[in-house]
Amino acid sequence: MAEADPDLIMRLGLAKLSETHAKDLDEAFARAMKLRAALAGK
Amino acid sequence: MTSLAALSLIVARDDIASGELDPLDYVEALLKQIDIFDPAIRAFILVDGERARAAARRCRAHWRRHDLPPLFGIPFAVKDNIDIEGLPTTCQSRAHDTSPASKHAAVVERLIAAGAIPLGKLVLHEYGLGEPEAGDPWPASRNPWNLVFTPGSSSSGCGAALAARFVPLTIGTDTGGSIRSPAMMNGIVGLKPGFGRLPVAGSFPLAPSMDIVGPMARTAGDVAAAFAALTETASVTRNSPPRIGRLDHLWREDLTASADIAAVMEQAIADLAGQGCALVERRVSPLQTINAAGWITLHVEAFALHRDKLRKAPQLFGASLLPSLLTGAFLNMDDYLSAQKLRNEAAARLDEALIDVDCLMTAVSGLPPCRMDDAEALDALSEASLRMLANVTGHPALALPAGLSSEGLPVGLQLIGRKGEEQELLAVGQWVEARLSGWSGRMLPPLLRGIG
Repeated sequence: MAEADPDLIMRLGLAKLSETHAKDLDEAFARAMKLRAALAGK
Repeated sequence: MTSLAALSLIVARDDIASGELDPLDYVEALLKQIDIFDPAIRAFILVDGERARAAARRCRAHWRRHDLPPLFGIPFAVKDNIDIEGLPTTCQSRAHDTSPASKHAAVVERLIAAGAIPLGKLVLHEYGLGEPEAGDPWPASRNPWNLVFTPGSSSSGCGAALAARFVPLTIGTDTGGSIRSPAMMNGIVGLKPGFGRLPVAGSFPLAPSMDIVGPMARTAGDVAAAFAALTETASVTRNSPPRIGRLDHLWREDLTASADIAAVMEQAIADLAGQGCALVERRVSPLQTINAAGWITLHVEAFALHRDKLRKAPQLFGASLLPSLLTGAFLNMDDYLSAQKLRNEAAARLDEALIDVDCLMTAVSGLPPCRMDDAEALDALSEASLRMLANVTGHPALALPAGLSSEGLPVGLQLIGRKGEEQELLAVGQWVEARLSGWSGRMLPPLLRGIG
């Protein structure tokens, strides 16, 4: 199961991936958070 | 190597027009070059020799006339996310519908109308965003300068095919640097036109607000000739030294370029200054925020494009592409709108930096090409990109080879011009190209030397 926010994953329609591609979802979540911080100059 | 294969686009075009070069002989020479070297280089996904021969035979019927179109008899190949009628477009992905294209992409249509001859489809990274993997439908392209080194991403086959003298012209796409990366790493020239300057219809999108198609060739003059034909505009000639704004902060401060890159850039600056070029320091938005704005835009738009298939059949996407596409799922509207605001600000700063200069100059990358089997080095190479700026702002940008790394791989510089002034930028590119001491168009990948 992906560690990224399960409610968000459900809302995005990615629940199936949470079972089969948990590592990819977690990697994607980490990458998105890194980009958000970089955009804010952090 | 066959001597005809080494001809530049302009020389081949002029020789065909003057009657010295038979268009069919030229096509046969290129097909022979591909036969000899492509099993090692793997630039092509598909070579359409019969179509090319038939087109060359048709050219013969009009040969030696005085009203020939501008690219008469010039073979070209396209990245395999661009449609050629009757051929599959694979996007190098098992997730893609590979039914034969029902019509040419607009850019292919324009080249054919200009007399050029389509020769085939070239390797890319999956959907222009993945990394080469063992499970890809086609093997990754290799760098002709050294087969164990990366040819760049994602128009990898476009760059490799030019360095290997398979064709004099290729068409790539560039959403986050995908023309300029392989241009630099294969020692050829790549133009990312300004956003909207060439039609993208018939090329599979990655991030529509930044996607462009653009020409790649072995010299800036060849690229200028191709761009002129594509846009039905005239090439521009420059005789006086240009005034260039140096964006050194991008590779000296925002990231620390390798000693190889710094040495090539410093030599280029010295060469140009010695030839009367005025070089002034300019600054634009910080690299970190430029790159974040670009990647947020790209990830959000790419996820939207592939969302349905990601939900239904994620296993069809490659292992490196899948988390990249999914990144867009975790970015929200606030992130996207903030990125667009920053893009507008960055474009305004770039316009301002261009006010009293002919163009801006920086490196293409902070690092030289690395080995294909070194995942850590490939990540570092990706992080050291200096190409996203022009995608974020929509300005035209030109990658030119400028020297060799300590490992003998090409490295280059990047010129960024004003919107709508690609030909002026290409004129500066030709002026610069002729004055760099670290690079000559006569330099050949070792693989091609001494074979005739």
